[in-house]
Amino acid sequence: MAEKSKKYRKFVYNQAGVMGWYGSSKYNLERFLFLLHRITGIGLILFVIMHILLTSARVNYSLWETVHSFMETPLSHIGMFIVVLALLFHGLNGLRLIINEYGFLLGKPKKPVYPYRKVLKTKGPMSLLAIMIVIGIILLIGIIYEFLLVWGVL
Amino acid sequence: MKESTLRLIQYTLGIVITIAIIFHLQIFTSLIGLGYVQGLTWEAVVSRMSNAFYDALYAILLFAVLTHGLIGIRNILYELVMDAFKRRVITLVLLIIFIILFIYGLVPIVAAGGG
Amino acid sequence: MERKEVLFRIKRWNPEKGEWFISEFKVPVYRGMTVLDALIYIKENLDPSLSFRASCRMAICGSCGMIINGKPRLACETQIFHLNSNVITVEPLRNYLIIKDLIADFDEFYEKYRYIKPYLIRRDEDEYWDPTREYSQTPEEHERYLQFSYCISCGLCVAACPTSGTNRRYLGPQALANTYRFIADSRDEGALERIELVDTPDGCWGCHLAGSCSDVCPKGVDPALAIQLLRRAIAMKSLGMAEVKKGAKVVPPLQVTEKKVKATPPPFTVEQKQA
Repeated sequence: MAEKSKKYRKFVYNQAGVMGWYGSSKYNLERFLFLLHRITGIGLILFVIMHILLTSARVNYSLWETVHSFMETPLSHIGMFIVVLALLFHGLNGLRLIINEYGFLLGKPKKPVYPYRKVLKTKGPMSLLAIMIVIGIILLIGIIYEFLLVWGVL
Repeated sequence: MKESTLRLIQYTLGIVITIAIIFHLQIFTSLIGLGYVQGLTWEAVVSRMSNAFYDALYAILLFAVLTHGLIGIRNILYELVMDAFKRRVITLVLLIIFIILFIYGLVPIVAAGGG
Repeated sequence: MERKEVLFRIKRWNPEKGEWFISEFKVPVYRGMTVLDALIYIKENLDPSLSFRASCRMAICGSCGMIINGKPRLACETQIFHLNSNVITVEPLRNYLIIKDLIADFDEFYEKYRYIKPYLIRRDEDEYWDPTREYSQTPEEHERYLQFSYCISCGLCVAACPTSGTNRRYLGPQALANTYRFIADSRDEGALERIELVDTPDGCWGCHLAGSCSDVCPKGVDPALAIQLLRRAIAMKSLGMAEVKKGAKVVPPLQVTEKKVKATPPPFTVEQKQA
């Protein structure tokens, strides 16, 4: 029905596009966790490709020396810190997604009674999120301690 | 290959990576390993290259990370591209990248393990 | 009654010129007034060319979906005082073809719904085409899919889904929730056909558990839960661990009484005229 009138009127496909992955600030938390998961994923695969190409230089000593001197610079230290943070987030969020995406810990379907419950705010997924946050904070403290040692502050 | 088996492979490799990364990064911590500076000297690197455990660890980690990451990139690109022909081209290109990087990363492991 | 004046900023599509434009209206509101009431006020008093869809005004038909202050909501159940703002932006739904002003075209949406076969499929042809009695189902079997049968096809979940934002071929949370509603129904025997249709990157594996569909659903259908349970069903089947049950049987016939009783008509309560 809409197609027949296309000759006389112009319609528009109101697609949200890549900005739609963010949407608006009023959406729920898990949507932003998914967006951050994607961004860290892209960053990590680019890092891994560079890492494979660089560390394959350990076949002989002179190549290794060039790579090693680049890794002593402060820029490389800060880059490594950001990569480890991204890896921590991606790994913990990934474990949470693997558990939830196969339907574990989500609970059974129930007849909806107002105010409606949203499954990601029930106690199963929320306690999983809380556990992941606690593990993340503990590992984050360890990582910051290690990097402060490397930078010579501690 | 059905999409459900591909996702199952990606999630299984995700768990494998989580375990293998712990062994990969514990060398560089000062509490349970050699520390960042000590772990990257030439002697430490050579001692790891001739160790069978680290050879196996690096081979498994290389395969798992490349497969998991490239399947992830394929999922993101499939959402942005809808044409069936372009999607097959994307899968082929990612497969070629995987083969090239896997062989390139396998060279030091095999060369050092044998020699 | 508490009253104030609120500015409505409405983003509209002009189909003759082929461009977006924004209209602003100042509307006097009172506590308890909904956005739909305000749009009808604008249409009656300020600008008769404003077009929008609305029908039941009680959140059961699903016609009046639009994006109000950033989130997809039903205009008839969104109260202006609950939005806590003196400026209200109204836009048509995302991820749909827009015909005019705030009206979205639902043809593609219904096509995706038809694609997943939203009807009961049975193997016994005789009973299907010539039904004798109803199928039996226990309350526990009913509870397994009851929540997902409350869907009113309003389309808010498709507007909120980030995957639908970039992938036009994605089936959408509404079609996938209804796929699970039919697979989990104990009366249905067409689970294998539907799983084949949905086991693709544009089917249930396009979902990444953002959960916005459940966040905006006006009926509490929870499409996010349906899609994850659907994935578990597909994974169990592909690993060979799923048990395939036969469809529910027909209810047995009523017991026939053995004793024949002669039925007599009850006595007249009204005087009979002697003919």
